[in-house]
Amino acid sequence: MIRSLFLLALTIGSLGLASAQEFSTPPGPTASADFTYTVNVVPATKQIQVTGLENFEFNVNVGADYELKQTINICVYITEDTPFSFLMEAPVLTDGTNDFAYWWTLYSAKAARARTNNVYPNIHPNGRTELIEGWSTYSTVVDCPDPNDMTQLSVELDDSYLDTPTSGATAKIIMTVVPD
Amino acid sequence: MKRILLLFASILLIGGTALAATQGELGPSSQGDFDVNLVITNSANIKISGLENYHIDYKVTDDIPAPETMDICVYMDQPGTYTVNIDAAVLTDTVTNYPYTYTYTDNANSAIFKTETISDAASTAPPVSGFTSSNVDEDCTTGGTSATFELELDGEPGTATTQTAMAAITLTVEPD
Repeated sequence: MIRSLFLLALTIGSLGLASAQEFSTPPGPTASADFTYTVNVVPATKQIQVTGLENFEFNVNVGADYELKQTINICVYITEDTPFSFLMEAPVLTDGTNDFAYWWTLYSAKAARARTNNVYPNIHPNGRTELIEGWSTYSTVVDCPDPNDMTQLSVELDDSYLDTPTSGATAKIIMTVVPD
Repeated sequence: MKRILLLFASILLIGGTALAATQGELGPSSQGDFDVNLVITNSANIKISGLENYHIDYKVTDDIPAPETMDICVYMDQPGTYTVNIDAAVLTDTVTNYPYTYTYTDNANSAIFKTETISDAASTAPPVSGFTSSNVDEDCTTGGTSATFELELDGEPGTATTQTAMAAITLTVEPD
């Protein structure tokens, strides 16, 4: 019994994951020993950040020409060269009474890659979540000083849903980026 | 106490403006969010045309000049009526004012009109609603014009020696 405890402590200690703080085995009919198990948590070396996000504001007059699509540039900064994934959580665009349909698109000119998805209230009444893996357009410099390292984010309204007036419909889209 | 006041002011500020998108923070993963906001209105588009400058030549020995008229086209891309507001300035040479009366009459219903006499002060009459627009073509080349604008001097201009008196008149129309 004593020997097994001693070996365990020595083995873990040699891996650097634990260290024995106290160990005593006075001779006698019984013996006890204790040791401390310590785990060092090392921070992840890959750090990532998404910035450049803006709200999309659409003002539609049914009787006039209006803008259906808007595009912004977003920046994903990673501390290491590695592809990453987008997780897009897109709810229904609604004013609480009337629902509207829209599309979002991520586009990288640098990688010649696009990913489009839509949220149709009749098909996706609870919104829609999409995971996009292996996105290779990012910057290893904060705030993407090179525009080629930015990704275009577009939102486009479905024209066929725009006949019903609304004083304000909203959808809050959550974007999460994670290194692959 | 100062902190409480500051917090209260911040809440007011947030309540009065749209919240900006949320940028992600640097970490093992990063999450941001943004809003898609949509406002839809269904008001008609409107256009007024046919306006011309008036130029009245008058000799003090003449009678009162005949009223000047012009045909106005008001086009809306949806059937409906409209409201007209007329902002008429004093007709003056900066020394002498020349009173005049304008009348804006609906061609479809002559009972609907807006009229006002401008003497020594600019117009103050409220807008008038219920005018019928054209929705055939933008310049009323078919279907006839929408309204008639008439302007008449009130009384003989007198013996003034002025060469030119001017007044700017602005017509504003909007769908009812």
